[in-house]
Amino acid sequence: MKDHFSNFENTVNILYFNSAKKNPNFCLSTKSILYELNSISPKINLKIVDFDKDKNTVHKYNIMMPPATVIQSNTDIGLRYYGIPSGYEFSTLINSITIVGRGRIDIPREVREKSTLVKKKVEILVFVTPSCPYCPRAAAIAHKLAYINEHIEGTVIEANEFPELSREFNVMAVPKTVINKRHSFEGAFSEERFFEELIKGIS
Amino acid sequence: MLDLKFHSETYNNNVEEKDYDVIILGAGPTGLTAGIYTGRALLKTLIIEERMIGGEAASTVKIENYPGFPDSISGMELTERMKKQAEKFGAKVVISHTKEVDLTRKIKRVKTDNGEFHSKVIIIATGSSPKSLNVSGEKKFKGRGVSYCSTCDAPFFKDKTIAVIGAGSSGIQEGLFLLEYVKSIKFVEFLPKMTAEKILQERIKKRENVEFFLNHRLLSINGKQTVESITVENRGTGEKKDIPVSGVFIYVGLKPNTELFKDTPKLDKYGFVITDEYLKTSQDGIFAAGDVRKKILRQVATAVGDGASAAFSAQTYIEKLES
Ligand SMILES: Cc1cc2nc3c(=O)[nH]c(=O)nc-3n(C[C@H](O)[C@H](O)[C@H](O)COP(=O)(O)OP(=O)(O)OC[C@H]3O[C@@H](n4cnc5c(N)ncnc54)[C@H](O)[C@@H]3O)c2cc1C
Repeated sequence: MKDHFSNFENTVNILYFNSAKKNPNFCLSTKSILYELNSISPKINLKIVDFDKDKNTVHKYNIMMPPATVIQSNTDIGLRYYGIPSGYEFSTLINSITIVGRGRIDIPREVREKSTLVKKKVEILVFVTPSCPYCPRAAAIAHKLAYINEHIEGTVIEANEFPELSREFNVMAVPKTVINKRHSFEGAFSEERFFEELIKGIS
Repeated sequence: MLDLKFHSETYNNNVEEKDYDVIILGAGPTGLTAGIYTGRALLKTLIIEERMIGGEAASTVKIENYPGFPDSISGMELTERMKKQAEKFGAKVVISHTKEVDLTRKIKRVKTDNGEFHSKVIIIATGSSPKSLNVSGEKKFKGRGVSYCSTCDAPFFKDKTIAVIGAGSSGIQEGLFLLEYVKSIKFVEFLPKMTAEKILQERIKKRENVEFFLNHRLLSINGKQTVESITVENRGTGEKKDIPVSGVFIYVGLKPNTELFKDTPKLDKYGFVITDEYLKTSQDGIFAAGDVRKKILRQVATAVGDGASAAFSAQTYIEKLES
């Protein structure tokens, strides 16, 4: 695991929104996972934000609920993770950290080119569960797109831990992806298909 | 100490090398095992996976019948170990969409989202996917109550009554897992009796909150926004019945993942690849193994056997090619 981070070009700054009141158990588990990562690699910085007290930062990053993890380089690039990154979702977290740390991603050239043409704000929500093997793929694509385009935000949400949000978006199967709160699709698609769906959601 | 294991699948996608001895399509138990063997044969090996490492086995919560794990093992962990083992012996694993294959020439070509790769041999290990029934409402409610993956979606049906379609081994096994979440299950089986392994039948029969509709055909899945009921027909009497359920999990068999190949190599009428005992297909240098080929039993234990045999045949083929 240590080796995995050793060839990082950039330092990854993780901002973690913790709470002792809201979802305290989920927060505790998330915190310990992040602490562990932090201790493994000098390339990973961790800053804990108190969700209940630090209203400014919560507002600045537009955080809905704790536990929330923002993965960034020096600036916010729109990578969010809500919930405990456990099970298959641990690989989603590592993947997002790796995107920022390596500073480059693999994405089909056509998708990369087309995605630079997106100039409107796009909010991608990907609902996942830790036992869903297809979910990391959908989450990874959302985070890749967020990484290459500043107008795109990729938010991954652990559906079980945020039942209200899941209900609001009628999540009954994962991965479920919602584009700008109005267009949604279920299943893990290729980058191309995912991007086609994203375009449907913004046009 | 936390268990910081992870599938390194989603980011390890930089494959600069384009030419291989062996390309394996599919990283389920079959493809990963083939990779272990070709790796140890010192053949340059690339495993290309379309969706997720581990294949169908990775989404199986508990595998009880794979030898060596008397206390069972989760499909995720088992396949993660297989992947590690394949990589240890030099096989590269990449996740990418395969757009096109050319299997007819001496050097085979595979066009993917990550570029084009070439090899002397291809092992097809693309497995199969859950079959859909094509009944009314199935498409409409996919993701709104209709599911093919219990490990993914079980939590959304907590304390609800659901239907499981198919009482084969998969249906019963997944049903037993779903019972940890749901209130009760209505099993619908087309045949007059369950076909699941006997041990699974015994277990499910002991449960109180299950009901069986054997010799019944599923006619439709009904509801407004989400699933509210199913309609079934008794195949003996023709009697129709509405059963109120909030979810439908479908386990009615497998459809081979062979769309990519059209008719090279030769497929049977259901789309499974036809092989001989050496796992050779109708096309020179193309081998097929695991769930994707015509065979009598589709399980992890038979998948890994196929993977090893196909790798051995591939090795023999390459040695002949070069002698
Ligand atoms: C619900 C369920 C429960 C099961 N329970 C058990 C059990 O308890 N015990 C047991 O032994 N077996 C069980 N099985 C069966 C077992 O999962 C399969 O036999 C086994 O996974 C087959 O392995 P495979 O590698 O041949 O195929 P798969 O596991 O299907 O893997 C094939 C891989 O190829 C990929 N692929 C598809 N098309 C392409 C392409 N064009 N290019 C590249 N890659 C591609 C797929 O994404 C997939 O990852 C179960 C199956 C199901 C569905």
